[in-house]
Amino acid sequence: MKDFSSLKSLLKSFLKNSKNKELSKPLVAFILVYVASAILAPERFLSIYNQRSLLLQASPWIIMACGEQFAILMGSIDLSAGSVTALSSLVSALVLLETNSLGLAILSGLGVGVLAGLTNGLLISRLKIFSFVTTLAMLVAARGLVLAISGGQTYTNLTAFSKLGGAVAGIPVPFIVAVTFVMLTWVILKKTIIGRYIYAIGGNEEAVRYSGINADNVKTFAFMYAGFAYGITGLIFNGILLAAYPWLAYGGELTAIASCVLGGIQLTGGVGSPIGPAFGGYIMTMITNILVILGFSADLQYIVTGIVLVVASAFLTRGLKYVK
Amino acid sequence: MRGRKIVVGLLLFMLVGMSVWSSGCISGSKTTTGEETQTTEKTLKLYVTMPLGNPYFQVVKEGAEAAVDELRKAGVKVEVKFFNAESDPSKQLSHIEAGISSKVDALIVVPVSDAVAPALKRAMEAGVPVILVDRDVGVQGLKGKKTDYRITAIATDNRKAAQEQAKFFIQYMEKTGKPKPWRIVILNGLPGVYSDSMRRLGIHDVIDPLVEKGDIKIVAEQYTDSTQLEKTYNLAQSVIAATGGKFDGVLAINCLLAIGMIKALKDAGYDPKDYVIVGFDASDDELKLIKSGEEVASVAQAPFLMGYWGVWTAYYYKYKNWKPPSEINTPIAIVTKDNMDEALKLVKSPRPLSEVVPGAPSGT
Repeated sequence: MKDFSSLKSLLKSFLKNSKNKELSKPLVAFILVYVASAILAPERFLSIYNQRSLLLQASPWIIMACGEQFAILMGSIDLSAGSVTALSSLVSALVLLETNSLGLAILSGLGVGVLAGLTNGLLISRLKIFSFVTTLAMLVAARGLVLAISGGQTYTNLTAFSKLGGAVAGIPVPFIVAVTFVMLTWVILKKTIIGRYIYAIGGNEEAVRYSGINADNVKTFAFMYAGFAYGITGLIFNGILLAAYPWLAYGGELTAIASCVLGGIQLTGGVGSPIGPAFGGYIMTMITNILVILGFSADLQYIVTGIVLVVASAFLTRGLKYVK
Repeated sequence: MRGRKIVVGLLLFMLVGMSVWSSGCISGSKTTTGEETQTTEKTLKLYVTMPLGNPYFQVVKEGAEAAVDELRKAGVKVEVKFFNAESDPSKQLSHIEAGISSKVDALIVVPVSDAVAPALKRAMEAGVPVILVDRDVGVQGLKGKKTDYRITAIATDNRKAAQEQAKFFIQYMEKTGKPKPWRIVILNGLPGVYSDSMRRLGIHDVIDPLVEKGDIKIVAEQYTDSTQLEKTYNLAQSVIAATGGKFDGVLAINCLLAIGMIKALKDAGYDPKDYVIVGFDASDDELKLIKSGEEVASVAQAPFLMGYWGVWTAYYYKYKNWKPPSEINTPIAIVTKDNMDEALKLVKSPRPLSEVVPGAPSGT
């Protein structure tokens, strides 16, 4: 119990002194879920095995949520996350089986993601199709493409990908990739001009356009980067599962969006820390994990996840005058 | 406004493009290749609609094709068209309507959803017999009798099959001599998926009395989307964390749940061979695991016979005035390392209908 009391004081001082309010809230939510889980099942939840499993399980969702936030920060939405992940996983697996080159496989997986994102971006910015509609079309079409290419088949023998799913010094490689990607995302969103434009578009797109900035190009870039993230997610899944199968990450976009919300990214756009979605993704993974450990039935798991989402969101939006 | 027109146009284009591309008639062998000498009275026109994009249904199709070949060899003029319904009820509806308007001799349908039930009824009312394959409609209850919707449903009885699975599991556990009470894990699909739920019930039919007797302790029973490997794998990891890997056996209601558990055990440094893992589906990936000894057994269904008997039922219905029973249960086989070839042969090669339906006609 010593650990918990020191955590508590740490938490209090953190909330008081923190200047970075947009990150401190998701962090607190993360710590609360973590501590609650640790209290409910100390031995089983805190075991080294389970903590490593959590790092491994959360990694793909962290990366996917990092991509998703590029759309949400602009006030858009990207529903294609799950399907593009599956397409990238499948294409890279096929390239690996065909050429036996891990490098080419990785490049093709990333390429598929970027291309899908570019398509999304161009349709939204040039043809002015709502992001919801564009990415919904991509969700359907990309999954259809996966089914058409694979014929519903599962591809195994992807042992070369195990480098992406292994561990370095006991830390799973997917988690190292995820942390690196979160840092890259933070740099782009917080330290570059294009990041500032993305936030600005979410805040007031009209103003951005009147000030002579090419918002269309910024949008296209943002969706491309999101697609890049889904490409990495697909590769990481291949690394973990050593198999590519057609229903990978089905419905994953909803987990990604929920992760962004839990991470303090407001759906209206313009607000949120780039690191928040990473905590959101981790929280989502922890909730599923602890409920299984506690032996909750499937229906209760859904209900509890829903309640946690509502409670956390209410906590995150406290202090706002109104939301839409 | 021009923008909006483009948007609408593009969407329409995509919709049309996608449906043409995917719902297209997959293989239409139009008519028998003419054997001029043989003039036969017997003809059979069939429409088959099912999701074709997965290996399991490919085998259903192979079975149907095998029956068609046999009929053609016997001089019957068979016209058969296979449609890919994916899992889209609206596509399947259009296939059914097409069957009604071309007055086919029978519609062979793998229903993708209960939403197609009204269309099936329309077909039956229009005098087009409907033969369901792999699954039945109306699991949540339909108006009227099931035979208003189809003449028969040729499918695995999932509950019975899971009972067999659990019985085998218990026999095998006895043989290993592990001390009782056995600590077991049951891995389920989501509640609400009919076949998954039936398998869960079947397992409990057999296991529950032993739990009461104190021979078995269920240390974890969990649920997840059984079509997603990343979910079954994560679930298995959480189950291992919850139990510390201390269990003797696993009953999994489908292949991905078994595969996910075996992979999670291996990744956690356990040897799957120390556990008695019995799955369901006997997919190719599972067969590899059974061969290597990491999975003890899996239940194989008979998709080949479903397609095969579907076509024969259509033929007997038309020419032998046969009234099939409301349900025809296809056989299952428990596939183990030792019986693999025979077991698979049992469910993957032609067998006469009369083997499972006493009094069914045979031959042409």
